[in-house]
Amino acid sequence: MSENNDVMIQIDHVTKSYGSTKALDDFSLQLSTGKIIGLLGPNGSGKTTLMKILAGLIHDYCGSVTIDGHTIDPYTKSIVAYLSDEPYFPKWMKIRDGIRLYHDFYTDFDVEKCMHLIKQMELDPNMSIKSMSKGMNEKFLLALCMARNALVYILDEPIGGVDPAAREEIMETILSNYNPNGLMVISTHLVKDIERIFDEVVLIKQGSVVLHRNAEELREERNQSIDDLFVEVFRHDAFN
Amino acid sequence: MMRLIKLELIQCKNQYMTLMFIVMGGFFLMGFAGYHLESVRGMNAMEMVSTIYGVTAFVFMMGVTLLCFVVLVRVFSTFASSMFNRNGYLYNTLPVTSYELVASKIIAAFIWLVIFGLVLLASMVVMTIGILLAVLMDNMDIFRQLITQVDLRYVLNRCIYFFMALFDGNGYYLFQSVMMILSTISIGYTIITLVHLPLIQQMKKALRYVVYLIVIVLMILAMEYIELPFLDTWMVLTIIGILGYGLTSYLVAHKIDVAG
Repeated sequence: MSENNDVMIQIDHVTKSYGSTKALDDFSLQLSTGKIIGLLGPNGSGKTTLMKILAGLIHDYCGSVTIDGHTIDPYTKSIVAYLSDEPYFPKWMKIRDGIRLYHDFYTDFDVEKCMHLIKQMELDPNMSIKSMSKGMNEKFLLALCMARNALVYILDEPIGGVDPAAREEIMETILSNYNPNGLMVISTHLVKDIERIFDEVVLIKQGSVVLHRNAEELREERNQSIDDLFVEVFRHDAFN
Repeated sequence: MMRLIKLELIQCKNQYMTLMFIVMGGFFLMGFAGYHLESVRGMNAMEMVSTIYGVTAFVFMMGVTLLCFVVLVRVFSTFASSMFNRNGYLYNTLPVTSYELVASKIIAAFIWLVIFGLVLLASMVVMTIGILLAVLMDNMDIFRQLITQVDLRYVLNRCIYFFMALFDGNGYYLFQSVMMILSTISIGYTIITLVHLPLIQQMKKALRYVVYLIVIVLMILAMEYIELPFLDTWMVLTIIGILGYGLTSYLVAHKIDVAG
């Protein structure tokens, strides 16, 4: 999948180990701009580790990673909007503190858009982080993330911690607010709920890429949904 | 950089302000309650004041030591949690260099320590107010005596004296003090960062604490025994602090994994 010249993310032979366990094993991948990529794999396949490397949270690995031609540095952090799978804002903060912080640090952050999203998600800017549920926290982080006009969006399990009704709302928020000229990488194991938005899918198994294809071509060629393919590829792993 | 320092200062504002109010309140109560000691109440005004200040000066020094310890522990634990634990997601994804990030944390911690120093000086005045209020509520005659015999300016002058002593030697002592505080914070951050290296984090918890202790002991030994010609102890400490700052920033940018 390297026919496109607009390469935004280039990952070459990355290996990351936690003790004797390899989270990423000689992992290589090239992702182009203007696409929505589904990063799919079962729990423990290395999705979160890869996303944390791209976000600049993991530094101790072998291999090379570049985003827009830069190794991970303040520039890449300025163009990457990262959504973690867990809440991480300090508990003393209120929603409006988080908005102010993003406004202070990210030049591509749109305060009005964020306020609109916060309102749309029925959150109160004066609400403190510690009083918010996990679902509310995820919506808040999503609003901050999608209010950025970023070149790369990295969303780690954006629908993982919310109920099915809220998933639709989150999907709608992502699709109607992201920068279409940018690259969006979404990791999930809830493939069925989200597969319709993918341009490309990357299947990861035990820290390596097992498949990287155009989503529509894959559906036509195999005559099955991405979800069915996911089940087929990872069926045996569930008990291993 | 200013945005980062602002963020750092805001981050600890509530906890530190609460601690300051507790300290001030504690010293006020110390003064207020000191007057009500049975042995003090039989004294004349001057004896009363000197006794109360004698006792409270001792407690004051204990309080200062305890507070310094509490604040330093708080400064270091805030650094660890905001850099290497889940809150670290926020700080480590900001579009700033690790040098700016670490420097802002050192400067913000320094500012808080200075504010705490000023609060401690102010608490001497607060303690005096506590004594005067206790006397005023109890015995108007002694209060009049105290007001005429005790010069409140003396207390204020003592506070200012401590503060101004820093400016002796054309600011040399002040500079020396500033550098020593900054270096101590920086070295503390370096120790915490070294222990958060993936290699050490993969060790068993008990072993990690052993490594922690070894690193601390090595740092203390380095400060104790490194003697360089023409350099005072504070200069050696400053050099180690600067090297520590560089090392911390490098490790944060290249070697550290933020834990989930």
